[in-house]
Amino acid sequence: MFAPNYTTAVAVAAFLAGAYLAGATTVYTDPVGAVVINLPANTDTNVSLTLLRPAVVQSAIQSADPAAKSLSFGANLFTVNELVYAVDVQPNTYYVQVTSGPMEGQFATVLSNTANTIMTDFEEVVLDMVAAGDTVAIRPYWTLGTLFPAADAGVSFIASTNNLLSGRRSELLVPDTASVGLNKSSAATYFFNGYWRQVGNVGANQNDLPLLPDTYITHRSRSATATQLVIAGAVMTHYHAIPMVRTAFTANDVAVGLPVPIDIKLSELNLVGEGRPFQVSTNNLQSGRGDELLIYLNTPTGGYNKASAATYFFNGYWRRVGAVGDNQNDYPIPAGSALKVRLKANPEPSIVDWHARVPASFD
Amino acid sequence: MTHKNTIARLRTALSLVALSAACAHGSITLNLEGGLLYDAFGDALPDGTLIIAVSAGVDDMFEQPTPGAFVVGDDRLIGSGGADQNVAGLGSFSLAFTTVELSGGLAAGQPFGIYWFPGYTNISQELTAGSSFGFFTHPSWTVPNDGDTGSFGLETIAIDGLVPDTMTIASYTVVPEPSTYALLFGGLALIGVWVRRRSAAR
Repeated sequence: MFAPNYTTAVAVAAFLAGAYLAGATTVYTDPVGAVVINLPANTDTNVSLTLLRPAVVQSAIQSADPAAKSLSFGANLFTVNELVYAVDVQPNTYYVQVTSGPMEGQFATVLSNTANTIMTDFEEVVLDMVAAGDTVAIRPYWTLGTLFPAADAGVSFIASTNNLLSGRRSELLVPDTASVGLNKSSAATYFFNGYWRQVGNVGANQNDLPLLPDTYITHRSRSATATQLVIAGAVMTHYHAIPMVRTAFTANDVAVGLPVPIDIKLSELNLVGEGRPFQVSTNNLQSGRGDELLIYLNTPTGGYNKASAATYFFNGYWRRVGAVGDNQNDYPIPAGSALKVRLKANPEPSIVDWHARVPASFD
Repeated sequence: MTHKNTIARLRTALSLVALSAACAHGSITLNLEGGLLYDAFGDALPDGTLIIAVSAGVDDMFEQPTPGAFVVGDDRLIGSGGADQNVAGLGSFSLAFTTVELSGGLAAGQPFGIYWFPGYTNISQELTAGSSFGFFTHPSWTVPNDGDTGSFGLETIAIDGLVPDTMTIASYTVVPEPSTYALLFGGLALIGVWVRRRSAAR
């Protein structure tokens, strides 16, 4: 039986990001690499999207129009609506991410495009703070079909033999990122039988279903056969903004899978500090507890619906429930781990972004 | 557009006011799949036929639907859906009840079962006396723990499963007088024994 672990091989190679779109001008290049994730038999394994799909454009913008929620470039980079998803024609759903300036890390889906402008679902308040010269990257979201392509059946996943539970072999559970509350169950379950299908809606082809870049999915093996997933992609070289939603009446779990392909120390998370979202604790007891960070590990193997391996909080330094006297600042969270940020309720609700990035020690 | 909905973030979907008013609890996800389900005449259910999942509530007893009420007493509706022949042929189904809140009397560990109502497609319809319905549960069918995703199957011999085809006929009738499901529980116990024997035999 495999022990799930990550093997990261990163080649600092120039990635020709502009090759995918006619006329696109590449300004920057990404380091690229691959991550290997073992998916043991009869086990839930969390898979974070630690590497990004290649950017089709990385460029400075000429202007931002908050009212129109659009960004314009100084050159004609696109053919009209080539960034728009179209069944059987254009399988990608694209997102644009700000990669410099005060809004670095913010991202939004591209809804349509002209030759030099993209229309997005950014909030106006974000684009109010985006200025000419700020850089952005446009990438496709990972999808079920690109993360687990049909050709990889038997390698990264096991195809189901029918549409029923008895025929199920590999399932992909997508966490709930839309509602608020604690211990949220999965939002949807997918399986492969000819194509990726959704439990509850088995007829539709879900191959092109986009996956958020900062969450994880759970591979649920219902098979006696272990598989192995290789994710190849680009290393994120900028901040990534993850909205931390704090409500007035209930604590809220935010499911996070960091787009970071290496282990990251608690102190490197960038969660704590002025202007950062994590509420510190006032003592080491539950009564004084602020926010909590729950970490889910892929070891040991076996079983479904695994509980978190440990709960951390911050009181002067990172501490672990059950061993609160020890300084855990240097605890390395294994790459690709599933995280839940448990945000305590507050009479004044808020959304504060967590700006995560690959640790500076990464070369 | 499905893809857009999938990637819609909470921050863009809800205002802070809405968030402040939100009443949230832990949740479960229940995946229920199987077939073939039949009407009272032994014909496979047409697509869209109403199927509901119901918890037995705190008394662990399923109560019989009555005119005007698909769910009665302390039983709790988990979710509703329809038959879908894409799953495994006419009369089959695949239901995903996602992020169901454990509240209002619904709790982990409670038995649950499914009912199907030939001639009905929506739980908002008026259930009338004399309507036929089917019921199935199993000893392993209990409401999952908070945060868990549970999958449960009901697969008849007709589609290479273990459950006798005769057990998925809508052989019950909605009557004005509520009554408990002693008969069904008897059947439930038999199913458990039968399934265990089948498993052991294999």
